[in-house]
Amino acid sequence: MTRRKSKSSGKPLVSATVSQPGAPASPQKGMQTEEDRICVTFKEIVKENPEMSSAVAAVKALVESIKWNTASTMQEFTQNLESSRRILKKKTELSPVSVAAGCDLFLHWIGKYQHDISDLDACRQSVISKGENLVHRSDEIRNQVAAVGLNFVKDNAIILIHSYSRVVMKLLKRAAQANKRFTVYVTESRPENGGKKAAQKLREEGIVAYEILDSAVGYFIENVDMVMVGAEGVVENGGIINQIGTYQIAVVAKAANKPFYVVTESYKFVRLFPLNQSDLPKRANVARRGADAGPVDPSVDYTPPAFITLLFTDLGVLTPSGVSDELSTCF
Amino acid sequence: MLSLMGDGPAKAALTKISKDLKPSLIDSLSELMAEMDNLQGQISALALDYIHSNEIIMTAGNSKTVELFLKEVAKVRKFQLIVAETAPQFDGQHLAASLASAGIDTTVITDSAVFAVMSRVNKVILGTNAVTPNGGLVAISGTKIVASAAKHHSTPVVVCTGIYKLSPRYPYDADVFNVLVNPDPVWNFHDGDIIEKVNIMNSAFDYVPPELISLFVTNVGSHPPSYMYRLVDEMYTKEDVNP
Repeated sequence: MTRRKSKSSGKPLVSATVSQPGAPASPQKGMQTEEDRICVTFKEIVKENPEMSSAVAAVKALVESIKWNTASTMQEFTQNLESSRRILKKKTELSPVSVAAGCDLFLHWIGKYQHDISDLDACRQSVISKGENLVHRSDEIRNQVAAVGLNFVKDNAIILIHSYSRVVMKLLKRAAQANKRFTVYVTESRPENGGKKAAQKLREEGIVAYEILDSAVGYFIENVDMVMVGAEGVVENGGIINQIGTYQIAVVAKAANKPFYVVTESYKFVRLFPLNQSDLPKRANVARRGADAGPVDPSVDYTPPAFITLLFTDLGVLTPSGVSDELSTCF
Repeated sequence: MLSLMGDGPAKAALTKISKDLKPSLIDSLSELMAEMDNLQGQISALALDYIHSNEIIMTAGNSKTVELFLKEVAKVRKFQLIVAETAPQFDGQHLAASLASAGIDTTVITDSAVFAVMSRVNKVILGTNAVTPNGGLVAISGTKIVASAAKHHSTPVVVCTGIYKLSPRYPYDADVFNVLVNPDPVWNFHDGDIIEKVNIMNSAFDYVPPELISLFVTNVGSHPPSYMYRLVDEMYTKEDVNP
């Protein structure tokens, strides 16, 4: 069983069963190589595929780890996979909730469907191909999400979005291509300033976009027709975990009686049930902050289902109560 | 969701020739017809759970389901009924006439009086034309007034409907299901002068959001609005909505 690196010292503990693969060109520090390898792979994948969701990148990283994993028994194989997942979830700085969602889904699927295959190589191949299926289909999945949400964008609508979300961008791009005329207000989204990037990308598509202050959401909400946000994770009760500021916007939208839509792929569904903000897993609020962030800046918040009108997913339009049904079919 | 790791949605074998198609189609249609024949009885059977003696009930429109629902209770219990007349067709007046002749203590009020009278009402019973998957209604124009007034007074709103009225289409916006019908009942064509100067609209339906509804009483039992998506899922597949 792979031991965790001791936190106090930099020295790694002895690894028992992790097989050292062929010839990785990485620093010679025993078990630390293994840990870093999956993280390095993940970072590379993210860098090479900026449009790919972190959840899908995590699955791709796990698939890569299977390829270099030279376990000789089923148990060793699953243990290695488990430890890779654990490391990735623990160490990633980028969207930890999405990464957790992707990893959990993948591993759960493996656990559910693969343990009866006695031939290790066949199992390995099957797992690799399934993982790659997800990666290849991720673009198609986003298209399905966009198609579902497209109908809700009406002509002359004013849509408020929060920061930069790839799925929301895709939906709006599709809407523009379908010749719908609409205006977008995007929040600046400090400290990451995703709003600037979002506004720029929207203008490239010919969509009228305005950047607004985060604090100006209350001011503009009366003019807005709907709010659309992405999600890092969708939790069991139909609530979402998303970039900080989302909950605030949801509260304002509810007070102003404006619909609040969540646009997300179904692999973001996680088995979490937060009851309030402090119930978010600690790793979710890890350092993903700009240079001028303060010491207690959270990077994500939780929006309860009562504030969400509908979710647009590749499984169709869902009500928040419908999310738990979908989750139970998977897990 | 696990299908995410499959090879993508398989196109249904719609071009396959099947000799069983006709008989099984006829069977399913007969089943549907039988369901529609029996549903009034099943819904009315639940009526006694919801209406009690000496309650003041409000309704609107002229729904057959609601009419039979109330008549069922009237057989054994005494209660008061207030009916909103539901202009411009005045369906409410027709319903009131039918129920009064069944011996129910009925009062007709104008639609504008709904809010004023609501404080005295114990329950609202409504019919509908369609139910959306999020638990909303597409019902006769005038329903939303009653439902909003009820919400303000925290009065429960019960909707009686057969599940054949469930639609898989989400209300993209409040106007998507609406139709503008003949404006003559609103303002007579004989008043020729005014017709040229004024735009007269007669919208047929209202969209009532799920927040305004307490319960659906259907032929498959009573359910809250948040459960409607389940019934829709059971009846329809993705291909039905987006062919």
